[in-house]
Amino acid sequence: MNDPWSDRLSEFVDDELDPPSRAALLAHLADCAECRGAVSELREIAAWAGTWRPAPSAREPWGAIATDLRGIPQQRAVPWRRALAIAAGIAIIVLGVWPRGPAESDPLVPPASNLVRPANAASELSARLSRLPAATQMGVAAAIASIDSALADLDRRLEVSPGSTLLQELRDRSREQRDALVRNTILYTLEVS
Amino acid sequence: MTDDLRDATLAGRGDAEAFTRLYRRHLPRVERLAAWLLGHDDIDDVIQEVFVRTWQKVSLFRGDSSFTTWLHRLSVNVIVRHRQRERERAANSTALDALESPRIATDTRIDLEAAVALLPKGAREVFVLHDITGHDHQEIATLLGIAPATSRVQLHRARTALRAHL
Repeated sequence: MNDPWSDRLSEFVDDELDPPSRAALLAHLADCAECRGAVSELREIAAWAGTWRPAPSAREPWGAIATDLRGIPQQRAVPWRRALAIAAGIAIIVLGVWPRGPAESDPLVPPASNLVRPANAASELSARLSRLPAATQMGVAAAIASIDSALADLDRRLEVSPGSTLLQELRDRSREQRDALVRNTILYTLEVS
Repeated sequence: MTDDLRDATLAGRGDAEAFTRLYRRHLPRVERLAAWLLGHDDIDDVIQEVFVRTWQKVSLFRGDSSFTTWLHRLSVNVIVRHRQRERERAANSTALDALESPRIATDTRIDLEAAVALLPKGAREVFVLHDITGHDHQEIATLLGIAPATSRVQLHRARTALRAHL
């Protein structure tokens, strides 16, 4: 299909088109039977996925689950007043370890990656941290502060010895660790959202 | 009160038998998600990891969404982290090639569920995360390390490919 709208039909099905584009596509659909058919089938697929029920499994990978679980502790929800107070304190700590702001050169994300823009990663992490257990929040904040301290030290040393490949490698690794910590923390918080 | 909500509430209080009922009801779903997102059928470990994590967190489930939706999100995050570890292990070996090529059981009938497994890796991942587990494009971008626009393109590519199996 060489129709100019053919690549945007899923966005139409998901109601993600802006109003002018949606109006234009609706007008196009009135005249294009091929696109109308495609929209109908795309909706059918999305509906199938949304109500998908898998066939019964023949697999039994964990037969003694009830016995195995008894030794594994469960998480307990933190009372909301206590959680709020902790979150406020941690937000101050986290903001304190993000002094660089959303500069393009921020090492939160490797330049080649378009995973999460630095500003988005910092703000997303700050927003999501409050959903973590208090001990985890403290651990994340402490780990980021520790890596930032190491990065600052390496930057100072590199100003003195800019040609040191060892220092450059250590700095790159520290940045990767920081990036991984932020990314994994965001992924973890998605579980409790 | 649904069976899931009742059993999740009991499991959150430490009732392992109630949790086993949840496990049996949702095992096929977690199994398919793991196979689709990992691209292979060697999924026993990740399934166990998903349900251990579920046991640890089920007391935090409040019934604001369906248990299936809650479990989808937890499962996806465990599976994505598992996949990251697999890729790290495979980085220096030829096993990476195996990860990129999903294996389909020879006796699987060609229906939509099987067709999903046949999609190209990127399109399959986005389709499962968007249309099956209900993540939005920004969340998928974070999970997979791609741009939201890429996620939209891959979703349309997947749905278009699946039209042939309707």
